[in-house]
Amino acid sequence: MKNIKIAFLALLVVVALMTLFIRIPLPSRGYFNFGDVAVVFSGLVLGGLAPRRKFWWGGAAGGVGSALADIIGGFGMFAPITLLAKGAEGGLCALAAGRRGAGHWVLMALGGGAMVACYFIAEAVMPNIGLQGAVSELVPNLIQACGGIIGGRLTHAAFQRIVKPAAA
Amino acid sequence: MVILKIAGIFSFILLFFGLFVFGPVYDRIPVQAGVFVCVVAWSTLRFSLRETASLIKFCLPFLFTLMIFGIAFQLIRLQGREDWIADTLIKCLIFPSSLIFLKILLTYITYLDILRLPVPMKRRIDLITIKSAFGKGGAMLNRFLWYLDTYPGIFSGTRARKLLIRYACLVIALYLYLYEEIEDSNRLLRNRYHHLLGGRNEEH
Repeated sequence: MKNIKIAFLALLVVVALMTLFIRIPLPSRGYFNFGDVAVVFSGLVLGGLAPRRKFWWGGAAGGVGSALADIIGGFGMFAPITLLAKGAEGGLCALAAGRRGAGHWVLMALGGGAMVACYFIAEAVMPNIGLQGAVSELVPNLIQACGGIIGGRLTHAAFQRIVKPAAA
Repeated sequence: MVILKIAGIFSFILLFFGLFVFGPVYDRIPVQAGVFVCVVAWSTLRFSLRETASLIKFCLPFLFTLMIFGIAFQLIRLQGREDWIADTLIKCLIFPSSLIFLKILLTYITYLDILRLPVPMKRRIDLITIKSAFGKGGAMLNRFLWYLDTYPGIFSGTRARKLLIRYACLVIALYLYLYEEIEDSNRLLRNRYHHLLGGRNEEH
């Protein structure tokens, strides 16, 4: 099995478990979690490993892992949105891997922004949440996106220092 | 036969989620309570009382935060809604039910079933690896946290810093552990296939 595939499977499980592990409920029946750190981390790791199709590797690990956690955790109605939102976040973070300077941070911020925007649009059109619920979740989602980017980036920096090259 | 068995299991899972998580009985607390009792009883028979208790224990931190926030939202009547407690109760029943139900059903898909699937060996090995990774990762999560808590030296500074270090360490430890596990199990499986079954290198 190729390194990228091993890393993908491992990160898919890490994202799902970290998303399931600690969650704080939000007013719109969704929840705040630490899975974003794992999504950003998986995007950066897979982006560094994949020679091409970085976006799809990162997006698949973040999106599928998080959607799986939604389904298992009883928040199944959010699973399709999560697949898109976390997929976009993971994919853009994978594109950010390997870049330096402003480009790196802009792509990561776009990833966080895409996640927030996906949730906002989807929740605003959901009949049991509506615009009011979507607006009330903007701040928690922004905090989650920022926390995920900072936490994921720092985790990746620590990881690069301690790990053997094959897995990094 | 194997395909029928696996299709039956996934249909049962879809039926469960379609009825109790997404479906018409989502907001019926007595039904959800009944489902929870049935799933716990099934888990006790399938695994053991101890394992069932550990599964429920795994859910407790989340259920606790759900209750706290549900009560707080009810007290301040957030968004003018009066059903926060009921909504919280439903979630507190659904979360462990669906988690335990899924775990029980997936244990009925054995490694032998995967080996008998009519797909190329490469895919069968991938499926076995994924099944193995989920099982091992879930089992190791609490153990890694316990190990982390035995290192008080790294938990200095603000609460945010402690949280970040704890979960960053957890993510890295889990990833490295799973990477090695998947790599090893995959190598072993391919080796067995080539040398014991005389398999050709069809995955290359």
